[in-house]
Amino acid sequence: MKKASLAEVWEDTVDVWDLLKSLLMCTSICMAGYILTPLDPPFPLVIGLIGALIGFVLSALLIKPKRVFVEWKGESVSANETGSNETGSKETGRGDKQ
Amino acid sequence: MGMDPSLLIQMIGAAIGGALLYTLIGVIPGTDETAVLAPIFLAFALLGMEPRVLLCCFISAIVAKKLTDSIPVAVAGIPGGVMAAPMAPHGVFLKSKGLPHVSIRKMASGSVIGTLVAIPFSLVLAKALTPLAPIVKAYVGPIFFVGTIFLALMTRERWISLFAIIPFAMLIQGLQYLYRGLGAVPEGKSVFISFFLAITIGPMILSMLELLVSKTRKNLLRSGPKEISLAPETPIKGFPNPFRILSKTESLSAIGGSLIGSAAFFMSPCGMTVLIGEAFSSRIKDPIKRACRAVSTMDALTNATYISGTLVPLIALGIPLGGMALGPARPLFEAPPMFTIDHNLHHILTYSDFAIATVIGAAIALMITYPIAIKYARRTSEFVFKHISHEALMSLFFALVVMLAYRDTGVIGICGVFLVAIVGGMLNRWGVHLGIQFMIFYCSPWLVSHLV
Repeated sequence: MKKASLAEVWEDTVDVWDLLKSLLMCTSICMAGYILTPLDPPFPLVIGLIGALIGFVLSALLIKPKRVFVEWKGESVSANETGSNETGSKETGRGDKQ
Repeated sequence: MGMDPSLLIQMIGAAIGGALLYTLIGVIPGTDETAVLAPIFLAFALLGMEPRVLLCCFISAIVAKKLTDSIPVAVAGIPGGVMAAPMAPHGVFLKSKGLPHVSIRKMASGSVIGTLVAIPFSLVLAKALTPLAPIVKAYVGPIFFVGTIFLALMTRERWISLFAIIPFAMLIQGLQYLYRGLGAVPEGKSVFISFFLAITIGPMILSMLELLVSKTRKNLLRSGPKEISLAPETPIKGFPNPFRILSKTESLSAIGGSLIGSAAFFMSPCGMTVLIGEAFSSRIKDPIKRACRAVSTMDALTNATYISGTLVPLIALGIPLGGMALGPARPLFEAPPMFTIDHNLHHILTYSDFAIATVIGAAIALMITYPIAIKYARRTSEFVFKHISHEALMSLFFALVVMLAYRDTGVIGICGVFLVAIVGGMLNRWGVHLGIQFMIFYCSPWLVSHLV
């Protein structure tokens, strides 16, 4: 049950329960900041923004990304390719603007 | 020109902040430009940030974001934003050939050229188009309606895009009347922010809600974390020079792409990128040269369309004409009560204010982000991939949208956000992209009033 909660949401992998937790945390801190601030505008907005940011930092600290690094499988990078013009310098400069 | 030194310091500070923040955000995979730019700049505008400081920060943010959103394409094959998606096949190819470092340098250098070309060109173009402003303003409704139809016809899913125009306009105007009828907003006031944010966040909301649908959930579940392979870093000494990194033909192609992209400021940036980028590269035989040409030209073009799409409508017209102005840059045109269509940056700033704020913003972003993109591409990506979870990022934008919608229209406004987000997200899935949705939103008062 606990392990089967990974899912692809908005182009990346998340844990559904983690997502729920982090949504609740971020939104409630942000809204609490906005609604409970006794000061005049624009302070509620400022505090709300800071609240959202605190929620973001807390979420980032508490919830780890669901990404793993696997060994890079591309061809090895040879030293003489590190320069830059080499791929272009061989170009014969033919008309390409049609 | 008598610019107060403290204002100058604020502008520089805001540009540095914008560049650093969006250097990181740019790398985060899958981040939609409108979703990451609009809510934050809307909040800045509502906070009463000085307009010149706001513009400077915005320009710096888009230059930085566009420089870095191609990094994950090169090192991991994952686009860092919607606009980087057209580059993905070329980036993946270069990575598989062991040339991710070449790919990053070509992209970032193209990006710099795009910025350098687009700024002067946009300033000149804006000046040239200013006389047209009264005509455009007199016929905003019909112009946007025709623009919507034109944009719909330009997309791959043209029939559903055409069909969606009236229903989506009805949805938005229907809610406007509901809010007014219930007294959620005062008579005569029309709601802007919560609709704008709803369209912005639609794809994300729809993607989350699909987890509640048993049929789609099955396809979304994953057995393990996302696997990412990062290419190794190769060192480069000194401050990189884009014109040395690109070959002469690549530079010319990037400049040409930037000019066309800037002139087409009213088009959808993503569509232009694919069209021009492929046209400039597809005839090259050598696959590596072709990919290099494609990524450098495309990155130049996206940058140029972003800058001109912001500056030209802002300076010349004061109304958000075009995909960029209607989307990410919209808060510079409309952030009621601070900015409205009759009182926004166009009316507040002078031509030299625009030029100075833009140049400072772009120069700072280039100085900070270009070396980072070239030298630390792998390390930056690694940091972001390892430490910033997708959950945290989604939650940040979700919370911002909820707060700003509540501030605009109260609890019912939040509910309205979900309704419009579901419909908009679904339409987006069918190919009615956000650019068209923003256009429909813009012309909806005029359109709906002509249906009776």
